[in-house]
Amino acid sequence: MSERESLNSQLEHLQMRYVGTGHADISKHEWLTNQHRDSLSSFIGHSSFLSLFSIAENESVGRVRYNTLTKMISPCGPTPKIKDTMDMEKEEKNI
Amino acid sequence: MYLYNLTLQRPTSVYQSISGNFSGTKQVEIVLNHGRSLELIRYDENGKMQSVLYSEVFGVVRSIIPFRLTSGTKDYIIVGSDSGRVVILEYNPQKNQFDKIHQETFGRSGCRRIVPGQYLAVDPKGRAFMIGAIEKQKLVYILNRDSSANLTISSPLEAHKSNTIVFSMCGVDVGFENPIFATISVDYTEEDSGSGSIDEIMDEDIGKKKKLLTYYELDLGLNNVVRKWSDQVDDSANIVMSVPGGTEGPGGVLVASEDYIVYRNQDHAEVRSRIPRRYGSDPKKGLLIISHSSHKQKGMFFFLVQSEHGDLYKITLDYQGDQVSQVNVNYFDTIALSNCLTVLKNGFLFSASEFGDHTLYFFKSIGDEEEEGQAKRLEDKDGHLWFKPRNSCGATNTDELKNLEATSHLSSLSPIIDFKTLDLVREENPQLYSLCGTGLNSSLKVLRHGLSVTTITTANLPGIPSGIWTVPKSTSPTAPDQTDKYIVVSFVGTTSVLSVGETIQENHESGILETTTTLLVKSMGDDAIIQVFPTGFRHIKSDLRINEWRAPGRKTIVRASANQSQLAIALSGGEIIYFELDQAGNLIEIIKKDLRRDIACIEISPIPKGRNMARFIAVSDWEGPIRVLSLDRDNCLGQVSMLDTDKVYIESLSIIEMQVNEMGIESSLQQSKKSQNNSSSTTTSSSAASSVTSNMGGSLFLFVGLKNGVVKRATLDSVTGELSDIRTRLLGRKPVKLFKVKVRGSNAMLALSSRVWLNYINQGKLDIIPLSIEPLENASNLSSEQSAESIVATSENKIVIFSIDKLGDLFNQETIKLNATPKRFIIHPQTNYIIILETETNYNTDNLDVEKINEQSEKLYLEKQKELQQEMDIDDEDSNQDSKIEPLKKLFKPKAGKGQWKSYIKIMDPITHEPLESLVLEDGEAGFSVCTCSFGESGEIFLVVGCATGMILNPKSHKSAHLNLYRFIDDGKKLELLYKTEVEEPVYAMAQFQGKLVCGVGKSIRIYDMGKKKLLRKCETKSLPNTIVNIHSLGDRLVVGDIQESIHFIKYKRSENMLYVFADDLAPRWITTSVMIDYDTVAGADKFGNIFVLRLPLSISDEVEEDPTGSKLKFETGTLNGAPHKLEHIANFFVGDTVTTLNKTSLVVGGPEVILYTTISGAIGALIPFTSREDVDFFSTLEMNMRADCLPLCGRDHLAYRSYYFPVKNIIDGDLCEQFSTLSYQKQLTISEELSRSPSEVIKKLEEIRSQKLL
Repeated sequence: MSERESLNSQLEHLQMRYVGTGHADISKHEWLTNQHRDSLSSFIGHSSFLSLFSIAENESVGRVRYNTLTKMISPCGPTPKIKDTMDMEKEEKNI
Repeated sequence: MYLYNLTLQRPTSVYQSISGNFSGTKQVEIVLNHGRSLELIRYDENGKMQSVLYSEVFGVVRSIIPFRLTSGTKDYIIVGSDSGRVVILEYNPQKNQFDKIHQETFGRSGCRRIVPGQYLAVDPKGRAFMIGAIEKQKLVYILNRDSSANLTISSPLEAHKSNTIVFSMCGVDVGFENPIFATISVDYTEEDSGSGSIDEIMDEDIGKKKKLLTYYELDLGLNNVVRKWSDQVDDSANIVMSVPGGTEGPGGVLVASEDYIVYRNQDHAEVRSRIPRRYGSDPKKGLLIISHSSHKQKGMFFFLVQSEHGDLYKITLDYQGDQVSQVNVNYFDTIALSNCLTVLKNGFLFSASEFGDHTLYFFKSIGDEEEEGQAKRLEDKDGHLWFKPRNSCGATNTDELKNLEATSHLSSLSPIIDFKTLDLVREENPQLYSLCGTGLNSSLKVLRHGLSVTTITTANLPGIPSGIWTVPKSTSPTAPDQTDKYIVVSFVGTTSVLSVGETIQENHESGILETTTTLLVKSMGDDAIIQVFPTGFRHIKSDLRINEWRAPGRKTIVRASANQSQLAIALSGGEIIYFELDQAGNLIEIIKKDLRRDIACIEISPIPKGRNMARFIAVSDWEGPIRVLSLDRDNCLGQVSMLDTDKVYIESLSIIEMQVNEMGIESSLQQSKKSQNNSSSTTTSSSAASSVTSNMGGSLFLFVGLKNGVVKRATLDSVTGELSDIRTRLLGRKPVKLFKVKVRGSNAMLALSSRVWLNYINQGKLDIIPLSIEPLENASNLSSEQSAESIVATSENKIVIFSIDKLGDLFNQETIKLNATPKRFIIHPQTNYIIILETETNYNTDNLDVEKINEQSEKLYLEKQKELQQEMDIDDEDSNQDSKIEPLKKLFKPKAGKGQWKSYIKIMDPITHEPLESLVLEDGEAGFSVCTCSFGESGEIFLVVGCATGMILNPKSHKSAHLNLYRFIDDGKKLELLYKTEVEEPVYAMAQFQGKLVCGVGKSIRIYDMGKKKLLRKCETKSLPNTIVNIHSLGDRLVVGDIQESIHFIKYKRSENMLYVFADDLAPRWITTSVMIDYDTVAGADKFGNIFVLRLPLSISDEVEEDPTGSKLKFETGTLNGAPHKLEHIANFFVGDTVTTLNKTSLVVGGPEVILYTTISGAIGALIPFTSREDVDFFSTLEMNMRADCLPLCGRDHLAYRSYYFPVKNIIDGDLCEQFSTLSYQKQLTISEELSRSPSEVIKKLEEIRSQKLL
């Protein structure tokens, strides 16, 4: 039991320290949001990416950077309402 | 396969620029951040820039900021990179390098969202700095100096805040109160807590969240950081700028957001000001500030910001004490869009352009009130202020600027979108054709290896000259005047003297004998001139008295050489006579020596500083060897060393002193000095002399030009006269003649062969580069009032005066303007015409009605005028003057918006670069791919263009997609549309394949044949994952690159008319470009900056070829959700920025083929295949040692950096190996001992691989 607890606390510590660390019950949305935020911040860090996007969109680099940062706030939209997984499965079957 | 990576053209895009006194002197310097390297730039009072130091950091530089301690005089550079460390650099002017003085680790490496490095802010008083990540983490370090004035750094103080995204950061000027840092950030906790439902439209919420301006206070007493103040700002706020405080201003910050500049401070009401807009811009779309800079001097300060349209605004504040009453935002000028603006202390502005050349501007004025008044008067009912721009949006032409004047440019290739090496002009060496730039700055650049020259004048001469010399006005040490008095040209049997002045005229009063061929003209002693001709020489004193010396007997003088006080002549038959200038200024014969062999060349070394006489003379007969003789009295004309040339005829010799700052050379000099001191044989005088020379840092080089076009260079020890460190280089087909010239005030050497080469010191290193000029025969330095450093030369019967500009560049550029962002170009296989496809989205509309806009603005203006008059009832006198608004001459072009495209197909003559055809695609079609194809047996070549309409990039959608087939008419000069064939998805890649066209339509590969009314679908496979971005066809094979899933090999079975994917890659790679190396090997590059080589295993290749029915392929099941076979991964390397093209080509005539790559940031690099195991071992050992001994500047591990996304494999980093020459001599020794070579041999080997296989 204590081992399990320490494992949990370790995990919690990791999650505290490194934003974006996953856990067993992570939702698809949360996972995807983290993925997107990581990618977007990597684009901002590697300046050549912003140049690439800026050429493709024909916007200024400053504008592209601003858009990318803004996108980081909510890259995948708001969290969907938590539905019962059973409901989801039912819905899927119906479809 | 092993490859060697070398950067040919360094990255030229600048992501950030900072200014400061980095050398610690008064000189203002600029440091540029190239993303993966740092560069130090100096400029003179005329605004001419010069690169002083370029330093590769092997890491991603994300931010740099200058830092100066309180009451300090020297700026340090704080670097935020991807290393998880903060590094403080100091520029060391003695060694010309950046010294790392502090390196503090705080996190993991990589551009992660919570690891600081993205933002940097310093306390304006120089006490602390803050380094922040995009999300959450912010650290504050306190800087101070210790008792011996060294910079000290504290342990970090945390100012973290979870779930916040930081947009901008700056240090607030609070005088000497506790330092405060300001950030603009958004808290996204609400976003993640899940309040909305999935049905809500997502976009609505984005960017509408509360944005906060937060002050973090560093309490120096308590040693902690607290959040001091926080207040909401506009939702679109993106930049925070610090306003001077303390005694110099009100303090606080300016927050820039869309359309507004707002002054904010704690306990102060916000002061808001609208940013004036240019005519025609869409008032619904917010106007964003993209870059900013500020200037502060006694009694005034202002900000200069640039909007996304390229307009500069000057911001000033009206304030009383610390109360700001108004923020004034005035239109200033319009320049190209910049990544970073830097206002420099002495009236210059450096603008680091997003794309294209970077420019240094001089402030002609700092704006006036009138402009503001104009904007005010043109205020409309929505409160928008309008102004008339002086230049179109983001334009590069600088003629119409009012307040700024461009003084010089740093040329930039960024971005290179497409690139090919071709020899279309049929020169000996290939030209590099690259499509560069975006929008209005788009161009096709033709690059040739070499420096560009500016021809000042050319004139025809009566005959073919045999030599040319210049004579300076005065050489006396008291008042040296280096501008030249005469140009002396020698012909067969005659000599003419031209005097240099306003014009160049013939002069007969110089005292120079004009009825003979001249061998040498040189100024000696106090303004005397020496002229050597076959029968003797004349010594012309400054008062025109002439002393003549006649050659004894029937002997004639064949060669001569002189410096300021010594003269040596060689007579036919092999006799050398040596003269010296005595105290009275007379030439005295010192010694005569018969070498018994005809002399080919003779060269006296230049006089070292602090001495009266040079100590060496180099002499050679026709077949060599070259002997270095001593001129010391005790061993006059005694041999001290020799250099063999393997019986190759010697054409010319030259000894030159150059200030080389290569660590190795410098320290080996000192080394030799030490050994000299130890040995008893040296006299005290010589060791004193050597200390003088090594203090000067100048070393003597002996250059030997050979008949076969080779030049040899040896280092001549200034003490012993020993020759060492011999380097050889082939320059051309003709014998090499050497001439001394001056560039940038230091000695340089022109080597004339079938091409003209310049040997000069570039950033402390000896560099050799060709000049883009016709072959020359003779040359000399020319300094005139018009141009202090030019070169006069002869070419056949012409005299040419030219100057060399843009020293330090590797390529000479020829720029051909294009209309829109280029996409691809191809060469017509028969006519060699260049076919360019240009495609631009969100383009600048040019079909705008100018008259209408003018009319509107005039109406608006008149209305306003009326209103004003009615209100005030004052007959303003000014109104008479500008009662009519000046009509716009130039069109401002607003952006068209998403989904709007403009596309051209251009045909260009490869020699004249004249556009033959410029076809605009109809109905807003956008072209994405272009290819020439001949169908069936006919042999006629058609042009196919893959187009789409209504294309939206993100999320991807389009209205319709076509393949347009064009016929070449009018000898290939014009195009005629035959028909369009509808396809489901835009085609990004096409190739000719066995008399048909193969193209990638979305995720399917399709083969088309030509029909009467449209292209006919012949065969298809849909088994590729995403979108096909490139196709190569070879025999029955297709090699296809997918946008996300790397390379696929496809086999075409003719008998069954079927396509099978038989091999693919294991790694997902976001392919941008690929090139076939051989039938089984492909090199590719991805968006993240990796270059890799994949190979089909031999057994599989054979198997596929030998399977006649194809049944095996058909029924073979895939492995790992892919094709049945997997490609072997044989090389991988991380370059540092997005690679745009790969080419397999050879740059040197007869040289090996290399892979050339180009990147978004304008870099050109090469991967050179190794040919011997020995070399591989040598370079990999060197690389390994370099990794251990030469730690990258920003604290990133080199191996980890080159393995950013995939582990580096089989590619040795030449850029790292080449840093060997910057190491200290001791380190060089230890590394080279492991390689069982000497340091100079290692350097030589490094130089050889570059010069022999590249340029």
